[in-house]
Amino acid sequence: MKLIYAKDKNIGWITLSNPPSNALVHPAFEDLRTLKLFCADPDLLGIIIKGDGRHFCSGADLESLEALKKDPEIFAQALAQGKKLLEAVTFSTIPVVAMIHGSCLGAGLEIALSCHFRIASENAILGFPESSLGLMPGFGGTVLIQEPSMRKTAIDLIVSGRMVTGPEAFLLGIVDRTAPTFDLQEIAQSFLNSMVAKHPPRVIRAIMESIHNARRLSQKEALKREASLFLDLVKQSLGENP
Amino acid sequence: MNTSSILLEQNNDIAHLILDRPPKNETDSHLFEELSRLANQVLPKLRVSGIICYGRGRHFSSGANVAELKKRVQGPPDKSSTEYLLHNISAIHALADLPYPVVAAIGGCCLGSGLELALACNYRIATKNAVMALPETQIGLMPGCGGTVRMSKLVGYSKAIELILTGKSLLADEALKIGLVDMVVSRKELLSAAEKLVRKIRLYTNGIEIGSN
Repeated sequence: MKLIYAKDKNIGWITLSNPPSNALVHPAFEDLRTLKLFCADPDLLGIIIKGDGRHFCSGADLESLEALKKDPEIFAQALAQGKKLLEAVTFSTIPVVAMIHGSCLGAGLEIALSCHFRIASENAILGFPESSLGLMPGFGGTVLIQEPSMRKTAIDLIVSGRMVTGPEAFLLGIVDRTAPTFDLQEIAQSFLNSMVAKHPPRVIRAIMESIHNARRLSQKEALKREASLFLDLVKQSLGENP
Repeated sequence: MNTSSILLEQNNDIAHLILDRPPKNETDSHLFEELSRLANQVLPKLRVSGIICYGRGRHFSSGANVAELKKRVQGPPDKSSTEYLLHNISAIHALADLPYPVVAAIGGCCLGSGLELALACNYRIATKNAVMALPETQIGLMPGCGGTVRMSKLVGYSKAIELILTGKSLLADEALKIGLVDMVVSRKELLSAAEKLVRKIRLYTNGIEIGSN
């Protein structure tokens, strides 16, 4: 599965591409620097991730998984590399929206959960089928899913392996909006634009960085950095024109 | 005539911290100066069950006085505007370090640094018609008094991103749903509900010092 990048004015698009299912053949599905560079593009205000064709991403390709599993150390390294990609998405300083259509399963759901927002079409199917294969989500899913939804939802989905539709995922808190299938792209774009279109990149990036600090730094340090980011914006936005 | 922007009154075992520049109760330089003095020198020494914090009149606070802020910042390029801002920011954070429960009682508008003040409190009770927002992006800024950090911890990272980037107003019922406020009551019950909560927490914690928010 490879990533295809595109820019449409200030919105970046990342397409997960290995049609039709866009399954992951390898956990480290992209070069980390390439992804980070795209997320850091100064023209961009936000990013939408989608799947190539009918589906978002159906998860790991089982045959490839079998092959990888043969060497546990290599597999562990591959997973670690892959998780860095998801981390790069989560800590991107512009908002990333997962636009979910068709299958969004296993690692596909983990990719979606690493995004800041999820918009799912009515025909989307989401879930963690790993348990029925004697596995568990290995891409951070067990942790990631607890943020948006409740712990009991997380346990239910992961242990049972059951799948939910887009609308049900919305009710469970896993996705932030649903959309009729034909309107999905428009709704995803307008959702993202409602957050970013009016702001210069420096405002968006300062806010995102500060929010990320709330989760990765101590409270004290996060507050200190917030003040510093705020002071920079004050100078830039309210000060005399440089 | 120099009346205070903040009043500190005692009601039995509970202190009332009242933002007293109605109707807006703006967090301007006067208010921040007094808040800083109170929060650093007076409040830590109070022997009370806790504090309730609210605005005089209809509103909690409309937030910063932007015109005043602009003037400060556009003055001569010295360190004083930075120091001024950092001083204000730390006044808000000092509220979060008090050794007893602090409950914000929110009526009317609670915006920007006004909301950040409420976020620095341990709990928030709002009236049914209260309106809350962090609209700093409208003037190219961001919440600088703890709003990004504390909002994230309360409502989750995604919701915090959405609220801060859109600057949208939240009504009390949605604020309750997402965890921004802990209780919604009628205007009549607002202050008594806040006091009741302080006493309840005090009872449960039985005098144990509460950690920093």
